[in-house]
Amino acid sequence: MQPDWVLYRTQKGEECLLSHEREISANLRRALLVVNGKSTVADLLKTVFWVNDCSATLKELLDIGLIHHEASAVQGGAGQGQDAGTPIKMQLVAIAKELLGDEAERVIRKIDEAETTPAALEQMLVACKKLIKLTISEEKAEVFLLRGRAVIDKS
Amino acid sequence: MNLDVTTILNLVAMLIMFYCLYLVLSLKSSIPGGMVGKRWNFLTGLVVLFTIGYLATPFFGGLPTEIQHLLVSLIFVFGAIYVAVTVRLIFNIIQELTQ
Repeated sequence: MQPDWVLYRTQKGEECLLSHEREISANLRRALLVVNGKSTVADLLKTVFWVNDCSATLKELLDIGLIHHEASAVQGGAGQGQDAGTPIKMQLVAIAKELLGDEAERVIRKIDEAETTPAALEQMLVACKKLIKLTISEEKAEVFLLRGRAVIDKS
Repeated sequence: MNLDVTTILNLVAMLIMFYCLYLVLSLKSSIPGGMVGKRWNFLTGLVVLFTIGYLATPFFGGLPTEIQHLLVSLIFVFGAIYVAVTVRLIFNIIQELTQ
């Protein structure tokens, strides 16, 4: 694993995060959450103190196919967020995770439950914004709404 | 212990206040921030203060009258603040949800 590699979640990694079943250990899950398609391995090793033995854990995630270091190899990876082929819901989940971190769970549930019609997605975005504003962060709520609308408008 | 009406009412008040303390503390982890989270920390502080105050009520009889009056006034002030914060919070939540 090279220090300058930028890591991305694979489709399998995204599904693993969204799944409520305990498929991987808590430490692996924490490491998977910090993989965002932007930070390099060196950045993660320097900043992510809450993952035990971060280097070995990232290597394990690579070995089991939950993350990848080549963006082009990631099919529908939400870590990229902007890929044209990425489903809207996955992109919204990625935004929620990036903005809210561990507190994104309830927002992700709302995204999962929403239908994929434009009206339903807009309604879900507004509901998520209200939830974030009331219980997580007033500032992040506006950012989530703006970025979410940008994703929907692009599609 | 002499179980008169005042003592029974004090005991009931303490039990209710312990229940409130349990509720505010157990909900705290679900509300890390945001509009509700910010006020919740303040409300938690007030509930802790009231719980301590209620627990001290059996000893009020031994205090000088002036101090007793001062304590009652303080309870009134903090009670009013608690009500104001709660009503304001409910107002903001309703406003947000009906926008």
